[in-house]
Amino acid sequence: MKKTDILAGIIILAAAGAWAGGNKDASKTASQPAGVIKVRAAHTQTYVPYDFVNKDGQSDGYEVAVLKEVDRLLPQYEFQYFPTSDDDLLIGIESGKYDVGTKGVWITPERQKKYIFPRNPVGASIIGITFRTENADKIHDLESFAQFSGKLVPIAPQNAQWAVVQDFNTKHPAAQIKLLPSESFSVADAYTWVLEGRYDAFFDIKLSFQNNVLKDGAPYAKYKDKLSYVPYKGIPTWPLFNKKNQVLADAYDGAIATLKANGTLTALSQKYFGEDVFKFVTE
Amino acid sequence: MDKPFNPGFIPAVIPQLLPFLTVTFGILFGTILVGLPIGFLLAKARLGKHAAAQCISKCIVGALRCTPSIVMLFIMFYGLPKLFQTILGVDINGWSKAFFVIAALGLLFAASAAETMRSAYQAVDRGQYEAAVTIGLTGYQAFCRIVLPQAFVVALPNLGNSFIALLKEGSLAYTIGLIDIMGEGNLIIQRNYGAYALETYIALSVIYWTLTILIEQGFQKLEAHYSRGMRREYNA
Amino acid sequence: MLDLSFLAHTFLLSLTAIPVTLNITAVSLAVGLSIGFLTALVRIYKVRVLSQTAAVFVSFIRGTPVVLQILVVYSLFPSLLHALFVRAGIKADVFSIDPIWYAYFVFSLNTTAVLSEVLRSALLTVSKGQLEAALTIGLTAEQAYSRIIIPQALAAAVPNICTAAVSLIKNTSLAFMMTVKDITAVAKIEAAYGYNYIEAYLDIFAVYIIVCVVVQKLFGILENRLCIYKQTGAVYA
Repeated sequence: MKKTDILAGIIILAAAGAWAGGNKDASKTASQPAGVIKVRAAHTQTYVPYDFVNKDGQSDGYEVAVLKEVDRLLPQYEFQYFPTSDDDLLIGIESGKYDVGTKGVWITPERQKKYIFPRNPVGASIIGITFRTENADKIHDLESFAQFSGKLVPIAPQNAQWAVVQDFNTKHPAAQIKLLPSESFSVADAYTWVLEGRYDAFFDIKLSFQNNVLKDGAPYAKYKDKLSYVPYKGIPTWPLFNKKNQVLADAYDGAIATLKANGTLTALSQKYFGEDVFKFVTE
Repeated sequence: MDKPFNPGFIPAVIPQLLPFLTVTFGILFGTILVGLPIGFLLAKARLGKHAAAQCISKCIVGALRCTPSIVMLFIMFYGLPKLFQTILGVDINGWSKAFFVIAALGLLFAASAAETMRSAYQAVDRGQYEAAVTIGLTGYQAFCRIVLPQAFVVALPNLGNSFIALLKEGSLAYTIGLIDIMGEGNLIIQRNYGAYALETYIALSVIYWTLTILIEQGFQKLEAHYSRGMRREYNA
Repeated sequence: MLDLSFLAHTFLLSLTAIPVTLNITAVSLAVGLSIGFLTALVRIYKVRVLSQTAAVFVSFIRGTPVVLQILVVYSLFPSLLHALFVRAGIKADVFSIDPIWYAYFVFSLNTTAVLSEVLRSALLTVSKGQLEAALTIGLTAEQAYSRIIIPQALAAAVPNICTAAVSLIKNTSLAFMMTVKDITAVAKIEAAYGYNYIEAYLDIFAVYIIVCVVVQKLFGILENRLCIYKQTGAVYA
C-alpha cells in the first residue's frame, strides 16, 4: 500500500534525524597531541548557579567554571563536560562511565567510601531559612526556629540540605526541626507555602532568596517585606572522583591550590554568587 | 493567597520549547520503529504452536513490563556498552544518547505492543480465518487479507493510547542528559531559580495536549478508514 | 563493589512500601474501571452533551504529562481549598489532609481516561448481534449487558487492562512528589546519605519485578477464566 510506504519512509527519516541530532553531543574526536588524557566530567544540569546548562546549550555554572580553570592549568588533561541528572552522575562516576563530577556535593563518611574526595573543596553553598517577617522577633537563627515550631517545607532526601538538617537535629535533641521528605518541587510553591502558613520556614539558598524576593522585578518582589532570610552557614562543596582516579584528584588539588592563591576562585565566586562564599565556611 | 502568576510568560516560553520537539519526535518514532517489529515477533511466538516459544515470549514480555523505564534506561546505558565490550570489543560509550534511550523505550514498548497485538488478534472471530482457508486462501493470505485488517481496527485505540504514552515517556531521556521539551522546560525553570514553574508547565501541557489531539485525530481517521466495510454496529 | 548490607537492608525496607503502591493502584483501577466504563458507554452511544465532554476530558488527561497533573493537584488544590474554606468559614485544616488522598485522586483520574479508551475498544469487539439476541429472548438491557456483553468485552480488554495496571504501578513512583512514600521513594531516601544509588536501583528493580509478576499472574488467571468460552480446541496459526 502506498500510504504505509510513505508512512514508513517518514518514520525512518525521523529516526535517522533523531540519531543524527543526538549524535551532536557525542564526544568530540578532535585531533589532539599524543598523550593528552581525556577526562569525562559530568555535572548536574539543574543546580543553578553551581552547575547548569545555559540558554545556548553550553555547560555553565560556578563549579563548571572552576573545572574549566583547572583544565587550563593541567595541559596533560582535556576535560569534556556532560550535563546529566543527579542519579546518572552518581551511578556514572561510581561505575567509571565518568571520571569526575560536580553537583554541589557535601561530604559525608558514607560517600567517601564510594568516591574519592580531593583535599580541596571546589566551592561552598550558603544556606539558611526563609520565614515570615511577622515571626522575625521569634526567629533569628535555626535554633530559635526549631523552638518556635520547626515546621519546615519538605526537602528531597537526595538534596544535601537533608543531611544538614539531620545533623542539626542530632546536635539539638531538645528542639528539633520537623524534617519531611519529598521529591524536589518548584521553589514557587515553597515561598507560597510559607506565606500562607502551611509551613513556617523554607531551607533556602541565599542566592535563590535574593533572586526570587529581593531583586527588582523578582517574582515575589511584592512580598519583600513579608519574607525574611537568615543565613545558617556555608557548607563546602566537593567534586567526586571515580575510585581509580587518585592521580587526577591529586592534580586537581594542585590546580585548586594555585587558583585559590591567585584569587581566581574568589573572582568566580563573585561572578556567580555575587559574594565570596568561602567567607561563610566556618570549619 | 495570590500565588504570583504571570500568564504572559506562557506564550513567551513556548518558542523556547518548540525547537526541542525534534528530540521528542525523534525518540517517539525511533521507539515505534524498534518496538513494533519486536512486539510483533513476541506476539507471534506467544500465539504460535511451539510451547517453548510461547513460554519464552511470555517470560520476556512479563519481565519487560515489570521493569520501570528508568531502570531499563540505566540497564541500557550502562549494560549495553559492557555487553558490546565483552562480545565485540567495541567501545560504544561515546554513542549518541538517543540510541540508548530508543533502545530502552523501544524494548519496553515492544512488550506492551505485543500484548495489544495479541488481544487484537484473539478478538477476531476464529471463523473468519477458517472461512478464508475454506475458500482457498493460504494461511498467510488469510492472515494478511482477512484477519490482520480486522485485528488492526481493534488494536487502533490501544495503539493510540500507547503512542500518546510514548510521547511523554521521551522525557526520560533527561536522566542521561538528552534534552527534549520536558527537559528543556525543567532547565528553563531552573535558570529562573524555580520561578514561573506553573507557567512553564502550562506551556508544556498546551504543547503536549495539542500533539495528543493531533495523534488522536490521526488515529480516528485511521479507524474510520480501516473499518469501512465492517458493520459498525455501535456508533463510535 | 556493591554494598551488600545496604542492598539487603534497603530491599526489606522497600518491601514495606508495597502496600502503599498497591493501595494507590487498587483504588485507581476500581475508580478507573467503573467511571471509565460509563465514559466508554457515553462515547459509544454518542450521548448528546456528555459525549463531547467525555472526549475532551479523556483527551486532556491523556494529553498532559502526569507530572503536571500532580503539580497542579498537589500545589494548587490545597491552596484553593484553603482559600475557599476561609471564605466559607469552614474550620477544617486543609493542610492536614493525608497526601495519599491527592495521590488517589490524580492516579484515578489518569486511569479513568486510559481505561475508558481500553473499554471502548473492547465493547466494540462484541458484535451487536449479541445484544439483539439477548433482548430477543427476553433479557432486560441490564441483564444483557452484565451476562452477555460485558464478559465478552472483558475478555478482549483484560490484556490491555493488565498493561494499564502495570503502567500504573510503575507510575506511582511519581507519588513521591506529593511526599507519599512508595517503593521508589523509600529506596532513594535510604540511598541519599551514602549515595548508594546503584544498590537502590537494583532493589527497586527487584521489588517491582516481584510485584508485577504477581499482578500479571493474577491477570493471567483472570484472562483464562474469562476466555473459557473461546477455547474451541483449535490452535491459532
